[in-house]
Amino acid sequence: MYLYWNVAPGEFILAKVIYNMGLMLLLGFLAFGAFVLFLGAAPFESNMWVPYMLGITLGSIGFASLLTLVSGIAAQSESGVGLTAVLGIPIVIPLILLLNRYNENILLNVPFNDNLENLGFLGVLTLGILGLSYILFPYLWRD
Amino acid sequence: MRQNWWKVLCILLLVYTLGMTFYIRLNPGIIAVSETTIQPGYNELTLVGFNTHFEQERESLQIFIRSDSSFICTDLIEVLENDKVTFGFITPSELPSPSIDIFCNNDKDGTLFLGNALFCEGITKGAILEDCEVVVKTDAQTGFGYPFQPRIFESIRNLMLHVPMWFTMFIILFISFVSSIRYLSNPKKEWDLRAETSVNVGLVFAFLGLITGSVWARFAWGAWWVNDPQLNGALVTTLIYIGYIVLRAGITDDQKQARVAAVFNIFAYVILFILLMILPRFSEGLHPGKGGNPGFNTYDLNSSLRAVFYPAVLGWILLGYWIYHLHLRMNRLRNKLYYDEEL
Repeated sequence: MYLYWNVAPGEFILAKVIYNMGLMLLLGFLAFGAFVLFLGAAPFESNMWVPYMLGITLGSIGFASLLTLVSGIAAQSESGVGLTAVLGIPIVIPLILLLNRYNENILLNVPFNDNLENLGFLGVLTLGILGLSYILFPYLWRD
Repeated sequence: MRQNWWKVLCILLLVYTLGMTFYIRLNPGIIAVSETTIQPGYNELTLVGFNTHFEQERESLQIFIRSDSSFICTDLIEVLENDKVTFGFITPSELPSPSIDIFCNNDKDGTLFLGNALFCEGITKGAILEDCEVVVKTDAQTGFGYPFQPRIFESIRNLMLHVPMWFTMFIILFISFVSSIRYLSNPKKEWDLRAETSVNVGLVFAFLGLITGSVWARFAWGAWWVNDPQLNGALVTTLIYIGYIVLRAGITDDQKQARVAAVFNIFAYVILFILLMILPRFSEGLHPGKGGNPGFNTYDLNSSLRAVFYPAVLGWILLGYWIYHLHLRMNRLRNKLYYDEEL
């Protein structure tokens, strides 16, 4: 209630997304560290670590912005957090497919220029989701 | 009656297309030959045709084999049936390419072709000395028939059922998308009713599309479900819209339900568009239309297929809209009855 009177909804969702982004980036890089520890540093050996890190970063940002809006939607319903998973899983699948292809290409040593398309699409998708969240969230916020 | 002309049109189109879907025969083609690998030397094979007229057109029947770009003539041995013929030929020990295509000519069926029908083992690379003169018959009177496609055969008729389902789903869900936008800009119960009704109707068509697609996949690819971007996208789309229904059920307050559902619906349509229209375009898979139109390839359609396919699409879209229209009117009445609200 207090937040409702003091903060514009657009700012609120952006703040929430930025917080979640930080969290996802932290988790993403921790997971990457764990992978390097247990499975070996394939991306470093193949000299592709910059695109790899870029992939992790963009993927984390995309996940964060998507799931923030979905959990915002789910929070409005009485069933609460459980609904986030039900609504969220199908919605993140395009992102997962895209990331999967991007990273597979990196591990198969596909030249970065051929992979740029996937990365660009990932960026556009993330930006689109962010824009949608920014436009749509005020309607959720009004209560 | 004047304003219901499109319902009449819908019935006429569907009767026409459903009739034509099952009535029209397929064009002739070659299904297979008795062997897939051959050795240099004399080979005797049986060719199995489909809707062909070997027996009737015994006089003009010719069979050629092709390796790379040089042709070898074959001798007919016996025409067994209208769709079965045995032929023999001598394979030289030097061929430009080990994979061999088969051509079959006759006056009625025209020139039939089966690519990569044979693989020749134990040959050396080289040119063929005697080349065979080939007459390609393009002016054959095959008439009005669906194209013969290897591996798909008669199931090409499913094109008239499977593809229009997805077209209809797209249109109906687009109505839902627009209604949701209009609800957010002008919160009236009417827009919410439209959005909800069209999602329900769109889901029915999505299920029909999944079922017809699955049956087709079983025939053409040998499995009810394959791991393909287009198929998974379709399934995920269906799941998202089931999520929409679950979300609505989870909120009891009417206004809030409508508002939250509208937000989710706009989001869902964007994801749907990405999943079904953009992602499959640049990924590999079995479903036709990779790297272009994600439904089908233009070269798969011949003129007779078009003459049935386009009316079928229009007919099913009109039917979908009709179902949606009836449901909407029913929901409006129910809304009036229970809540006594002016819309």
